[in-house]
Amino acid sequence: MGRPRPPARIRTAAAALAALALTGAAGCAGSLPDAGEGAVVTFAVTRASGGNMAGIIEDFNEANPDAKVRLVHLAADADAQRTAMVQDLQARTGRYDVLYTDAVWTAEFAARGWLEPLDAERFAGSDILPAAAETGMYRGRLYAAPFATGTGMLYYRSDLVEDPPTTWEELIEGCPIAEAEGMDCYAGQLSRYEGLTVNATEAIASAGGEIIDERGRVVVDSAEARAGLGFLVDGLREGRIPRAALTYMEDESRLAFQRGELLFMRNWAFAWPAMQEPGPESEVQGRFDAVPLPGDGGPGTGTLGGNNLALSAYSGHKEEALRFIEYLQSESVQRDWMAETNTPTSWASNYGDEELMAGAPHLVRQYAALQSVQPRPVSPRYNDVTNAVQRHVHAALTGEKSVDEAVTDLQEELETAVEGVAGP
Amino acid sequence: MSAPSASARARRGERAAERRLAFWLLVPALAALGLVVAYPVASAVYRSFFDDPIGAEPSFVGLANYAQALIGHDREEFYAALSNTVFFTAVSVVLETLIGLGMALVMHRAFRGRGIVRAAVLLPWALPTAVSAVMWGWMLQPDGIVNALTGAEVVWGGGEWPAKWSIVFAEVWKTAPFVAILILAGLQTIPPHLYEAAAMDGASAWRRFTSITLPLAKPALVVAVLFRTLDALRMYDLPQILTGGANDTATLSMLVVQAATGELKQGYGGALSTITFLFVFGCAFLLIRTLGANVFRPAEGASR
Repeated sequence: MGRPRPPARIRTAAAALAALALTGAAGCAGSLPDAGEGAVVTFAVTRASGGNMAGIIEDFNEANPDAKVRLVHLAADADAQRTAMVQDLQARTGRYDVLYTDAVWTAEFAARGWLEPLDAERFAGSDILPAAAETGMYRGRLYAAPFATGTGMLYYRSDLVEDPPTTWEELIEGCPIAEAEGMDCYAGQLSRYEGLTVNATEAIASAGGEIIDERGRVVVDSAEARAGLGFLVDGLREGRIPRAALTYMEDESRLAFQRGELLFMRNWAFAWPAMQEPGPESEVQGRFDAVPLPGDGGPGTGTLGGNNLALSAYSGHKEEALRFIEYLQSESVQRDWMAETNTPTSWASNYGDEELMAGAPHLVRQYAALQSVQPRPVSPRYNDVTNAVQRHVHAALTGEKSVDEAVTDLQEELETAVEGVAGP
Repeated sequence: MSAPSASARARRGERAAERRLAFWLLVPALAALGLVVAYPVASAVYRSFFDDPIGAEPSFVGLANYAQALIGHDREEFYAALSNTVFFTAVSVVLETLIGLGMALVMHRAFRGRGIVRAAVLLPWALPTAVSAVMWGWMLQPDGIVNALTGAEVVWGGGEWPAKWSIVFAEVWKTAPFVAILILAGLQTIPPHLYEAAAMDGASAWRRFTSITLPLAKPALVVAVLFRTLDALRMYDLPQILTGGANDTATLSMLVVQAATGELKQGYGGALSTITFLFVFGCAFLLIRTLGANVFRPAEGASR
């Protein structure tokens, strides 16, 4: 079957197409939609930050026409936010001036030289909760201004439990109540994700242990860590913790509690307003309360979540950016933020504001819980650390490994992971 | 088919011209591929010979990253991921092919509403994997619809085998339609008169299936198996979203992503991705060699 020879213009068109494809590929490299009207500072923040970020920036821009801020929304997912920031920082473009960082990224970003050190007096002075301030520190220097914070609390059914437990022993003693009511006793967030690192760190700290100490050494191979992990593993084995909790993240555990299936639950402050909301979704309005976490033979230790405000080392407008950070961190902005989002922030005196606290009983509980906290393991290799913690702890929870094996393996793996970056 | 009207020489000249045109038409695609495939692959391989320090320049370490995965302290994780990848691929491809073949045979028959059935069957394939993973995640929750319908109380995310099987279910559910459509295309090229002749000769339905349907649909089957195998060996989004690698369900691609973008180890991540690449490449080579040498080389003189 013969076809006529293609006319010359088709060949020309093909070549033109090729050229176009090449220039097209090259052309898109430099043209990102970066033109904020006269803005000099770019603030990269998750779209899920809550609060009226746009309104805050508008107010700031009005008062600071020479330091106008432009908002760039990043993904809601923490890993995706981090990836976006890392790409900008690795390329040293300084496209993002101010970064809304997760509390656990401070060490890594600082160790890689991506963050500008901040004046600790100015951004983490006595007005800031010491617990929150610690999440902005790395090797004795401040790299991120503390903003949003929070720790785990023990929620309990106040209609069924008179005296909330302050120790694990008391919690276990309360479990027959759950059994009599046909409920499960306790659950946290034991799915294999970042929340498991949080729950494991809290359990280990509540037994007096640590995963990585202040000097960056791995110290998880201890009797305390075994006791802490044992609380969760025994709970699952003996039925105090439902097996379903192995798939729980924050919302799944909250939903189980608000359906009336749990007597005790470990969760963040956000759960309170959600469970208190009127409607058929929650069956526990007005029938629960929260206290600081219990521990092994005494009060427990929560770990810290939260977001800080960091300044990119590659920013071309550092002075303006610092003014914006200071504004965003200020007492009145934080006060409005707390009132609007119902979540805890770092400015200490706001917790003494009676009007604000009257409408937010959970923030009063948060303030109490924030007095006894320990950050998640601090390491520039945080991702390695949390992956290892999640893998070995989950294996212990599902019974794949004994607590003893899990702790020994974790020690060994963490030592390799943080090798070469330990100790100030 | 019209008989060739031009002389052999004219035809050769025509062919050469067509080849030149084909070359120029391919240039844009090749250039784009070079930019987005060849360069990243080459730079990943290059980077895999360097270490990943924090706060210092990477230094050359030779094959240390490869050794770390294959025989070093990360070998346990690596071989677990490798065997998971092979398990998911082998089990899901076999199930998909059997189910897909069944679906194709059903769809090949003429019946009322065949168009609707074909469209409905394709739906799972049309869904983005991430969406179907989230959907299966919900259905497989402890109080989800799967447990409610079966009356079981399985915590699908709470143990190794439930978690592995839930990934296999979701994978097969999603990709069996793809296999079915490919095989259906093969079935439709079988001339009906072969069946008629066989029926005249008194061949049973089973005999017709094994002697006509299977051999003639084989090229399509082989392509389907090959595509699916290569795809399954790269499996990432489904287990990432469904289990996050919990309960020993991490695959090789998940390890690569965890190392390269999570832990920011371009060196070690590069080594893992190179190993994965070589592994998938080797599997593809073996498959093509054993299954379908003739699929990609149509017999000479075939009228086309």
